[in-house]
Amino acid sequence: METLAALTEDQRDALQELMNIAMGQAAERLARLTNTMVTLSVPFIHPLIREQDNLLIPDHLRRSSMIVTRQSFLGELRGEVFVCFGSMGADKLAELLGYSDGGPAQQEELMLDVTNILSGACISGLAKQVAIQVSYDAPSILVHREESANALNELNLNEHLAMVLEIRFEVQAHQFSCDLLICITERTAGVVVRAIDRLLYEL
Amino acid sequence: MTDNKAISRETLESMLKAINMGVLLVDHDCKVLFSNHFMSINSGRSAEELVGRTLFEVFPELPEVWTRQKINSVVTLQNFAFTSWQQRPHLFNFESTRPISGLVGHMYQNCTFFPVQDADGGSLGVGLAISDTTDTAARQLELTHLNELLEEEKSAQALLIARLEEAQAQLLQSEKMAAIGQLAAGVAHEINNPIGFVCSNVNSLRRYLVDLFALLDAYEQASDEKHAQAHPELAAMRDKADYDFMRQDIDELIVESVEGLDRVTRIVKDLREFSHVDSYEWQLADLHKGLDSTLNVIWNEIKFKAQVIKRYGDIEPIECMGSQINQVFLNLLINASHAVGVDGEIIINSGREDGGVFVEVVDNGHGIPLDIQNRIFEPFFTTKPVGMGSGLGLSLSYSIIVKHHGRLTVESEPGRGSCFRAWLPLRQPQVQAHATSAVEGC
Ligand SMILES: Nc1ncnc2c1ncn2[C@@H]1O[C@H](COP(=O)(O)OP(=O)(O)O)[C@@H](O)[C@H]1O
Ligand SMILES: [Mg+2]
Repeated sequence: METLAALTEDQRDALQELMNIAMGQAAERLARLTNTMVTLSVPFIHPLIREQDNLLIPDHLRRSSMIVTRQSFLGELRGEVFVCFGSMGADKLAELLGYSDGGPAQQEELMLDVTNILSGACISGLAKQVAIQVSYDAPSILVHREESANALNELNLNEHLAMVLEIRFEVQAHQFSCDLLICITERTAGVVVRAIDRLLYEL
Repeated sequence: MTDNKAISRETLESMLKAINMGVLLVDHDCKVLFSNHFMSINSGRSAEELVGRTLFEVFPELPEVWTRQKINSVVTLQNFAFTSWQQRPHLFNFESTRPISGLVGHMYQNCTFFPVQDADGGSLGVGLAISDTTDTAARQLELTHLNELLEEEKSAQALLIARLEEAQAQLLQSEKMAAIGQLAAGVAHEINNPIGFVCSNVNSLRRYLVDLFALLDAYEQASDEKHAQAHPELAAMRDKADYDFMRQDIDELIVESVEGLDRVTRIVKDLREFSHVDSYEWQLADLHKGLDSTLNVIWNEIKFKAQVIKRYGDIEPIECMGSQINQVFLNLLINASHAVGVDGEIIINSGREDGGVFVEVVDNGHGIPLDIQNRIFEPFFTTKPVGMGSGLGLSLSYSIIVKHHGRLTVESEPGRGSCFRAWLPLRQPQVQAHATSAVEGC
């Protein structure tokens, strides 16, 4: 089975490049939607970080996440995106996305919107790079912690995952940032590997 | 594969119209291009009334700014957008789809917004697919409600369990104290009799000895030189027995024995006083007596640790259960002796206040940190190592004082010491007796 565990240096670089392009497109669309500057950090890729059934979440996320949302992407490329929001959630983006009052249900809805927009932008970007179709289910709240910092410990992963991408979003004018984890199943990771190889071949 | 041409545009349209969920197509300006039966049935407006108008004209419940931004994001990002019944229960203001059995008044909906392209692949508009989730929502809301009830019940039970534990601990403790009291009283009683006759015997002995020595003196004076020479064995016997020393020593021995007997008598009396076997009832009691007997009982435990200073005020006897109040004094004094270090000092104040009396046990020990001051009265709360503290002393004392309609309070400054203060009314209110009889009278 092809996994991303055994990527060569070149392949790793190519994957990075692939993601950079996808991220660039995502940022550009987001900026267009919200009329603001959107910064996306260079994605940090951990191939196959997995230990038994637990995802080894980077410590800084483990400490700071208050709310974690999730959304599935389905098709030839399957997996789930997790978005980790810090203590201030997405409040700063409320106005940009047309929200008026700040009730708790609306804050949640806002975070789900942000989740949907970010994962759509990233995954569609990636899917376009490798020329495949993906679909999405509705995003939902995975863990909601009033104060505990360990929201992420509750993630129970059941399908083999092949890759975790860690991306940090920042909308600078609005002091907003959140972290994205993209987990791709092992069974569909081959799609990405083939795309990488094609990219390398074309170079 | 079916031949696409075989399915006409009309067929596809009638399928979309018939499908059991809401389908809308709007353009970039939110003008309705297509609407199906579901939307007509639930909004009460025919398709003709809907098509050609903006969403906000026909569905005034939709928040315009938000909806426009949603549509905008689908067009710009060419991506799905969602709403869920959990965060936005009633996107469209439709009536509940459980008109008879449901308790909810409005239809709950999930909605998906998706980009729709025209034949050339350009952006035509945005589709809305609205699904009815009333049944799921009703069920889930019911479950949430049930869950809340369960949680409430759970915490109520936890409270009950804690109370039960407390009650049991108190029972255990008071049973233990009662048993100890009875044992002490029994022992005291058993010792009391022999001590009684030993006392009177020693007193008799003392008198007899006085008489005996007087007799001996008389004999000695009566015997002259001649008699002494005739009986030299008498002088030898006297020397051998060290008579002079013996006479002196006998006096001391007797005095010491009497003192010892006095002490035993006092201890027995204290034990009886302390255990009050005879007073597991309300009685008028002198608190100073109770304090003194309690101090005597634990004297060995505190005499090396702290100097005890009594500052008794002028108080009258109060109505209480003597043995239980002594139990409180015992706990407070022992705690104080545990808390003090070198140069330990325990001051006992008493006096009148507020139509009652107060007793304070003040120590200059390590004090109680602020964050645990409100926990020390909890049963099983202890900061002492295993074996040293049960954590029951203060909780028991507290409940005893409350049972006496009094107050047990603490003031403490960490590092400087603590002051435990018990206030007790002179007389117990007769409320309970009155209350029950009143109820019976009705
Ligand atoms: N005079 C005091 N000085 C400092 N701390 C005290 C004093 N009296 C009680 N405490 C604190 O309150 C706790 C509970 O006391 P208590 O209920 O008598 O249980 P125990 O003495 O068995 O620990 C003690 O462990 C101690 O921490
Ligand atoms: Mg104690």
